[in-house]
Amino acid sequence: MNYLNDERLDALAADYVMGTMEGRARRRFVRLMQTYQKVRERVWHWEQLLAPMNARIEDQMPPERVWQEISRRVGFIDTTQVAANDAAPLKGLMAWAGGFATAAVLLLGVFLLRPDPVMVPAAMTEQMAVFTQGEQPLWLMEVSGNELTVQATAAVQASDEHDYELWIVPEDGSAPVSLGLMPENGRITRALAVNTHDIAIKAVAVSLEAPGGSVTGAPGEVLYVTGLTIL
Amino acid sequence: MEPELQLQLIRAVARGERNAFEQLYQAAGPKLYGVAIQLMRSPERAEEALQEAFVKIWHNAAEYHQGRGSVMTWMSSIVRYRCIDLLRSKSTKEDRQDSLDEEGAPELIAPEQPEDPENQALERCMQTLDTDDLQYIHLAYYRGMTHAEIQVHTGTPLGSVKSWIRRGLQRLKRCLEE
Repeated sequence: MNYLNDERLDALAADYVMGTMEGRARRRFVRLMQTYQKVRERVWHWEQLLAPMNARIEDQMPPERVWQEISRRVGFIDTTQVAANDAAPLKGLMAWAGGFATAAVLLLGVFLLRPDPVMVPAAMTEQMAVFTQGEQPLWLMEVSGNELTVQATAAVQASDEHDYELWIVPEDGSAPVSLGLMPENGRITRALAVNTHDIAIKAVAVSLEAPGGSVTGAPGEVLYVTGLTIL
Repeated sequence: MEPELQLQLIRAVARGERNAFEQLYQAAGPKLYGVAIQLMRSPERAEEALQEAFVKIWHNAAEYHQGRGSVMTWMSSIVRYRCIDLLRSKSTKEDRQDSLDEEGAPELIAPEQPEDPENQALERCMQTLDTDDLQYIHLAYYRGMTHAEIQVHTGTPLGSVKSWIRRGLQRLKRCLEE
């Protein structure tokens, strides 16, 4: 089926924005959006056409606890409390990252690892990481200036059911920060979000997420953890 | 809030400025909470959707650009998609079956001469639609119903629901793009 036929694409984008597209069709469409600029632009166009419908919706004052919870989740308040209280996957990731220091030593023959926290992205510095499963490389990640490039290998299992998301685990023990979705094939290059600059990094990790990635701001099931290497 | 101020705030949020994020929340929170309640039909679930959407806004602020429309359009879309994901999740779906016919959400505001030209255009174009097309579009957009839920709610065959929504949206689009 040719998804990119203009008329069909327009109808699909409208279905997606309305929310009437469901299940596998929605997951497939999210994947098309991630791959093709043309698909994203159609969706953005429909979002803008329909947004004025929200004018008919009356404002409602959210309870104070909503802001408190948002502040807690993004790490504005009491991050130790966040680490202690949050869901198991987050604690799991911190534990994994803690264990990484030991694992890193074992990998010295393969990568030149820098034991100190690495600042990313430091100007003129290039860094890289390889996520592997056993001895099989899955993704090669490089940071150059403010740009992140991730190359998937053929060993990555593509799926309509899941997405893989990349995270940095800060050295100071605060909550992991998303760097966006990983490609399941080919290579992607994108600018690093400004709020990831100057974070001292303990490790980088890949989690398994529902299509579209984590919406909670915290990683789901952590699959792979590795360190960043200065080149 | 003025679009220009929202733009300044989202750029500051992308730089990691917490005060800007709080200002953006204070300004946009009531409208976005309204959007979430309208879809979720439950204040608790709407709170959950709003929280998750704002966590995403904080992390993804640098991805906003003007090709996405206004900052408010971009944020509303994030809230809507989060609500839709929650509505489609199995546990919510089971709870929701009984509540679809209940009056769980506030009434929509009657369109009274909106000042914003985009809103004026939408209201004008809405009036050109057939009553059925309009009803189905409302059920999908404001109540977050799937085609199948609209079928059950209205007793209209699934194929007709799909084609009438599609026809209504294409008419709306043609009218708005004129």
